Amino acid sequence: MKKWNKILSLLLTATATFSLFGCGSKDLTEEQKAQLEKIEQIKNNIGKLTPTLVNDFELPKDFYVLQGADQSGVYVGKERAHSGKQSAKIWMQSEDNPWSGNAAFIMPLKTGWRGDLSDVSLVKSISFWVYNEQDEERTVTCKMELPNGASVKFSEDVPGKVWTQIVYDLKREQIPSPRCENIIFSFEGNTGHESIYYLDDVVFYKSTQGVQQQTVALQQDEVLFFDNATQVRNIASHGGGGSSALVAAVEQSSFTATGRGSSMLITAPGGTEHWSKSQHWPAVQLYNVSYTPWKLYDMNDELCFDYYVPEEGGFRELWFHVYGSGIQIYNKPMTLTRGKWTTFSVTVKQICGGREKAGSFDAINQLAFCWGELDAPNETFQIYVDNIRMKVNKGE
Amino acid sequence: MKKILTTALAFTFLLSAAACKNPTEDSSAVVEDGNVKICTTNSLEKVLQQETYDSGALQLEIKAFQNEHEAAQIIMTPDYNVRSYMLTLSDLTSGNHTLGKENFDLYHEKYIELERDVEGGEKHFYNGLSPYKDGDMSPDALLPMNAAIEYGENVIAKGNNQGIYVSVKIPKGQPAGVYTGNFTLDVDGKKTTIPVEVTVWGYEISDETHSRSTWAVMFDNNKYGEANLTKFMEKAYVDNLLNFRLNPQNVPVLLGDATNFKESKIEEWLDSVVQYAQDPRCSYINIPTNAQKNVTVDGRVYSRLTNMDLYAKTLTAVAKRSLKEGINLFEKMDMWLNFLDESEQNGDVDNLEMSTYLMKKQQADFATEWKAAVDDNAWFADEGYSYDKDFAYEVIESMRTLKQFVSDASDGVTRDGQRFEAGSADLDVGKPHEDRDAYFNHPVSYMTRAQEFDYSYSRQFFDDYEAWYNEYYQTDDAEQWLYTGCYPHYPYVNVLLDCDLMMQRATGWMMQQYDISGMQMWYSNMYQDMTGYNTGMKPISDPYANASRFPETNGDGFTTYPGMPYGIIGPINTMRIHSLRDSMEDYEVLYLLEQEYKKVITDAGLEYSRNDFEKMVEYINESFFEHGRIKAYEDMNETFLSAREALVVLLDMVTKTGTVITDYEKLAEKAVLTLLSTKNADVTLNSNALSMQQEEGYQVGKAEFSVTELKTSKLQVKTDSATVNVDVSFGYYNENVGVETVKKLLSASVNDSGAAVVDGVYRYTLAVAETEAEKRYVDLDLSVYKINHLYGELWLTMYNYGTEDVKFNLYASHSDNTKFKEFTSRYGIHGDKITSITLKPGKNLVKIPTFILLWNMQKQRVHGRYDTLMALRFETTSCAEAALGFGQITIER
Repeated sequence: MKKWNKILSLLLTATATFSLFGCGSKDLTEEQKAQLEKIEQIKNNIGKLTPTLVNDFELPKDFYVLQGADQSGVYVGKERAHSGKQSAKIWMQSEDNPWSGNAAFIMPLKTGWRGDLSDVSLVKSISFWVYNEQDEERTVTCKMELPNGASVKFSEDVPGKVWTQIVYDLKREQIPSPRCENIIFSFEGNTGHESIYYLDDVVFYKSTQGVQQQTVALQQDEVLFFDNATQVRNIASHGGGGSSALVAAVEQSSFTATGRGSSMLITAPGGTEHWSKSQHWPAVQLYNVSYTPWKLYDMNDELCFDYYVPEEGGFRELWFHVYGSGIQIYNKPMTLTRGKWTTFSVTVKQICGGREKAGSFDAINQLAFCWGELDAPNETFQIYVDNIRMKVNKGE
Repeated sequence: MKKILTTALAFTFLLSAAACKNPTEDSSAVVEDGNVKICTTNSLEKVLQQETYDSGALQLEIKAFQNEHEAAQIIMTPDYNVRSYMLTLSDLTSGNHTLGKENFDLYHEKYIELERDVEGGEKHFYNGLSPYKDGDMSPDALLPMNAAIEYGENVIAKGNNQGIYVSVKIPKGQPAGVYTGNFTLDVDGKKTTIPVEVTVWGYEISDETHSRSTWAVMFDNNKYGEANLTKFMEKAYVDNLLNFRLNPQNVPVLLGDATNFKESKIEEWLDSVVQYAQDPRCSYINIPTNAQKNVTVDGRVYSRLTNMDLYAKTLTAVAKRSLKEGINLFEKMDMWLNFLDESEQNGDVDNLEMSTYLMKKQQADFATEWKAAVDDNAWFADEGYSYDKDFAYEVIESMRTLKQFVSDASDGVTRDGQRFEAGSADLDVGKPHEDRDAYFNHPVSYMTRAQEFDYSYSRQFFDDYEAWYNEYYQTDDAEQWLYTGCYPHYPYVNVLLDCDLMMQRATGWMMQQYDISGMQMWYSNMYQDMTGYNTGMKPISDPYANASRFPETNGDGFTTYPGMPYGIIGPINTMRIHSLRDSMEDYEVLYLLEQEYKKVITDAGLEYSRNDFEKMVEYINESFFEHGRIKAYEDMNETFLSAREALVVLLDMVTKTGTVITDYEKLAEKAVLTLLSTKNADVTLNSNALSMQQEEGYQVGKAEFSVTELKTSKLQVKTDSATVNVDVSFGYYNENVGVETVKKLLSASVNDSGAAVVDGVYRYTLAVAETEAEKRYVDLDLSVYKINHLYGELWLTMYNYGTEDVKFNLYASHSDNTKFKEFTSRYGIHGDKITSITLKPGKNLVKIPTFILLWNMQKQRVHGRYDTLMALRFETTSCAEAALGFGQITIER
């Protein structure tokens, strides 16, 4: 049986990612010692956590539910193990199949032989060990997939030739859903060259005290008023071109259409033509919309929101997208009015493309604002959005 | 699985039959924890984990040709929980010769639970035919013993059977002989000696695979189970298939479905093609093609046609690379148009016809253009290509004759406007169909479902169709392929789990008998669940535990398991695919026999006829196989192994005495073999000289054998240098009722309608007439029908041209030991049930409500006819008779 009780004895919590080097195989640097002290300090400040083994890759059935991603592969790592006899090996070959890009694999949490581990409502931290077989430092990324396309993603630079523990503290506001379907581990490759990593001992650390849940009371016909801070949290922002530098910032603002509560302010950095050439446009995606009882609304009812675009530094053009069951069902370019609060509205019928209201409308789970090229590299572009709501109309 | 059914052998060669040895005292090894019953058996026996089993033998016996794999099994049954076991190998010897232990591979048999009632629906149509039932734990995956030991799986629960699969590959050049020695089985420290006897036959099979195939191994399906989407893993799967004498659907270039092919992939694909074109294991290379939607040709819109621009560019690229490499890369190439899969069912007939028309036309146009360019020394000359002209012509001819294979699920009804209706004496192969224009009257290369070879009219149609193909395209390489999948099931050849391993093992023999050059399998690494059918693939949590991954099947879609969880790169193979490889190796033995057969015929100054050779194959096959059906006798595995030994005798007869069988007739009273000899052989039958007619360069004679009693006849062929003895026994094959008798019975009762046709012993076709002016009834009286076979089911196909309900009385009498138990009528591929009644002795009213067909079978209705498959289930304890009769068949308005 796996000797992972060693790591269980470590009561680790952290407010960010930390790498814990080595198993004493090497002398720690001052920087590493400082990190350990920081972890110890945090550990002492927070109550005990209960470890739950997610996967130690010791048995064939530990590998049954793993899934390949992109053009990657995972193997049984018999050459190295952090504990026990083996680990998961990520091997990017150089011969016959010169590798390009990174390698990744998916670890579903719901279907493994250890049972359903997808309830992460009590999980405070995730820990795993990585051995980077290369001499140089490489980046390892962990992405926790949440419902409705949301995710938590963190990366860590891992030194070569040493087992490294990566610990990540899951901030509750990052996990609006108590469920995590999959964890995706991704490893940096070196195009044209072989790369090897080993992954071992994936452990959840659960809080014994539970996590305080926040409650948001929605008003009649409210979709998102942004008056509660939680409503501004479950929002994903991506830069389209893959560069984190181009990702828009989303924040709560006291500048509102009604003079009360809060609005959402989107601030996007100016970009270059790089943006327009990307496959996916930059966007802000709103996920806290699946609570709305969409099926109560009829074809003539309207989805509305108020927006304000500053005279200077305001967006010039935006696209408004609606997704049902994860599939885009409506896409509308918005001609923006500047300098005053303006209401944008679209009927249910228009969203449904003139057809009968289908299940996908009843299952709306995402709204999104997208934009294309912002060709002023040194400028930022803003828009305030407020009071996303349904307006009930009588029949025609 | 040991059958409980009993029957007489149709016939068999009785050549040094491998008699089971009595268990020795060692066979029940006593260990400190308890006892372990140990026995041995052949590679074809599927011993369930929890059945009572004892072969009575304790000696591994294997007989194999040089360069061939064969296997045997050890079955252990402990009365306590075994903590570990292992088998230690030793070298075997025969005189001064050694068969090294390194030639053996050991596998721990893993068991998987069979699921019969998937999706909460009806049981299979074939339920009751297969000896397996819901919940049976069937051996399938063969885990290398080292991996079993490493992961602690070499344990046995109390009362369970546990098989060890012992496989050997006889090295090339290994001297013929009987090699003996001992292996040592260690169960929790208690050692048992297992005697081993390997007979090496002195004929060597080829490294080159001559059978063709296309097995879909999808790299993207390795996302599950293997958790691997790399070309590295795809190549491991492809190479594994080739090691089993099967070809992949595509060479490994991360295509997945062939329709993902695109121009930017051509050169990468060709890099791989060059490698596999030179690999003797590879006999088929697929040209990937994809489809374009809504293409207009001559003012008519086709919903999908082959992407002709891509096809033309691909052909050109292959030609250039052939010249560059000096290898005719077209030689092994053809293509499976899988985007037009089962076109009859999917409404793609016109798309298929137009696609194949355009592709053949492109090939013909290129051939004309390229030959002219070669004549003028201008073929790709401006691009710097140089070549030998003869080689260039060879490349071009191979390109011109490329074949487009398509699967044909039309169930013996129609084929691209050609009819081969049941019983039609006037097959209209090659005749233009009046409703079709010029684009739709050309032959296509078909993959046909295995059960279609059950009918003589189908086989005749296939032969005529091939002749038409060769004439039409001015070639001689027409090919007929077969395919299986979820269908057919027992007792036809297939790769399903709830069937005996003979269903796989007979495949190569069937291919040789009917000149079937290839086989197709739609999926071989489906590590997902597709039982939702229309809801797509779903991941499975345990790829070693889900037997049913496609509706109402066990084992369909996967013939391997993922090796990754056990640290193995590439798949873990199954007993099924091992059996299939054995079958493909049998194909190679028969290929060798055919080459020797040709030499004899050529030496005689005669023209070789494939049909004559097929008679010889039929003669060998008939003990275990008929038309694609496996004869499910209790001792069918032993019968089959005897037939393999007969093959050695026939090889001896052909190669050493220059004597072949050129005809084989089955008559009501006797069987007749026609022998042709080129070496003035003395031929005797039961010590009496056989009259041989002398011809210039050879002699011929006929040997007659009784078929009314179980009797072994001694046929001896003797020349100056060799004597070959052949023991022949046809058993009492026709003692009760044969085909001819049943035909007479039927024709007597349906003469007036002229619409009922019989083929084979137990499958009948009824046609209900279409109009008022025609006869509306068929009286079918089988009152003296006798059961002398063991399939437990009598099949009838009713072809109803109308849309009204059909009603008739079914009379059944139950004798003491035979009962007709149940009548069901079903439709469609999966045999969905329409009607089911339990038969009482006497009159039973049966009504087949056609509205169900109308509701469900819009796509199934072909040429205005609804096909209803009817089944009469019976049980029998011995060869006995029962009465069965149909009353007047009427149509209810």
